[in-house]
Amino acid sequence: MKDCFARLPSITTLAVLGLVFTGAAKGTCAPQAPGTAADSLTATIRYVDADAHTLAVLTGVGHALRLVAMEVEPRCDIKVDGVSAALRDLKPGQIVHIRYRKADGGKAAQLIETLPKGAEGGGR
Amino acid sequence: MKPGRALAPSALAAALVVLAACAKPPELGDPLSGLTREERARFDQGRQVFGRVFTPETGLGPLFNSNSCAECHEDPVPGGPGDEVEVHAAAFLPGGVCDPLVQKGGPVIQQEVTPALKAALGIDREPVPPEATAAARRSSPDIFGFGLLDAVPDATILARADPDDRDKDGISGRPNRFFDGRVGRFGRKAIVPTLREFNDGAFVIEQGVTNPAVPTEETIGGSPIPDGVDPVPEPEIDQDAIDANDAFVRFLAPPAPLPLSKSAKRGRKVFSTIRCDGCHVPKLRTGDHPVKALRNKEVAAYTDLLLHDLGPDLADICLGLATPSEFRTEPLMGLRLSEGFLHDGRAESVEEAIRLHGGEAAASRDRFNALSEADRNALLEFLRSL
Repeated sequence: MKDCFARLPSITTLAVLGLVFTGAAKGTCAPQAPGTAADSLTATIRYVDADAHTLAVLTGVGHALRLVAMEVEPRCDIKVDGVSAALRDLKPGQIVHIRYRKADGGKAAQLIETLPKGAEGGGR
Repeated sequence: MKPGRALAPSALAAALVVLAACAKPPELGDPLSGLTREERARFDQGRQVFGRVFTPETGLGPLFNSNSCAECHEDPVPGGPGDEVEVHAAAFLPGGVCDPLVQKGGPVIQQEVTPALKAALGIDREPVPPEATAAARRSSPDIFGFGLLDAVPDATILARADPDDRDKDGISGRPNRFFDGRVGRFGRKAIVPTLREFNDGAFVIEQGVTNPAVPTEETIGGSPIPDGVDPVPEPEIDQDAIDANDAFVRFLAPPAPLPLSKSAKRGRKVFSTIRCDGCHVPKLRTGDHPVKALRNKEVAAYTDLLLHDLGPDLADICLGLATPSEFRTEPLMGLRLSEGFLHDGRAESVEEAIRLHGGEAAASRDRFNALSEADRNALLEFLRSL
């Protein structure tokens, strides 16, 4: 994990631009800085480092997968199953919707919400 | 009015019906019937892109598996299967977490490098990450009829899932899901939700050709590409060419099954009797679609697009929700075109492939083994007609 975050800038540079954007999320506690448009993505958490206020998520296009690392703003609104939570409550494997802003060549999360796991089917 | 005149319209209508019934099915490599003129033109344009041979000067690499889509999907016509086998790697971690090793260059481990990359790093291929718990071989399937598979509604896939085997038939089946939660269907582990994403991603992972949807190159085992090795600016192919290529793949018609002999017809019944059709569902139906030729059509795909556990002997990598032993039911349409069978081509015959099935397919395999020679041959003849 340390190895991963030591390369944060290069990983961030690699972050795919053709992510699966899903539109703006509802509300954020962090005010939008003028001239910094917010983007969003839906992806699977790979790493969380609550002490460093960072996380990395898996996304991509087809088999061209990308690890997207970002900082988590101190006032980031985090919700797990719809309930307010802390960064350390997020776990690898959870699917999250993240609203972020581009900052200092990287990304800074402003809102992180876990999404329910999709149905596996109801039986035949 | 003369009787002959009164008959003329109905005779004409009857002739049209007969003509329609006798219309030749598409041949291998042909487009779907019923495309508009514009769609057909895009298909023809896309065939050129599909066959385009890339060089380092036009965007190939620096890591790649092939220099053209048609290099792997090639036999007997573009879109058919190929003999190329590629390598995927992942780590299946304690607790069932799957790490596709993206930060180490995974999950696709490219087997070729450009001369410039070889000169810079002295490697002949991307290394398999030491963190990988398994490396998998993946053969090159035919892609005929994939546009129809793309048009099957998610609800159809989910309706056949039975993750807890509630019907107690020994076959569970569950969907894989992409990292944003959408239902997957393409790839041997069914990780990719749409044909469009499969195609866009393939340009990068197979040819090292960046495009508007994937504008960044793969890393080399997790390390960035050395300066000067890849001088072509991103994206290395434009949106129009990508769209045309997508149209070619999407509109490729599925292979028309061969006429069934009496024995093959019997084999079709055996296929059902021994419950091969529990996973290799003979027909799926597409849903609503903007392209008429893909809308509300039956496709004899012989798959349910779900993951099934095939047992430990076939297990290799995890991917998404798929455990190492879970694989998507391989579509059997076009089976007669293949020379290697199963996801990695390890089986040299259909019969060997059936005998290697395990897990959820073990009962069907055992029933196959218990068949009379006549029934077994009938089944194999039927499968060779697909």
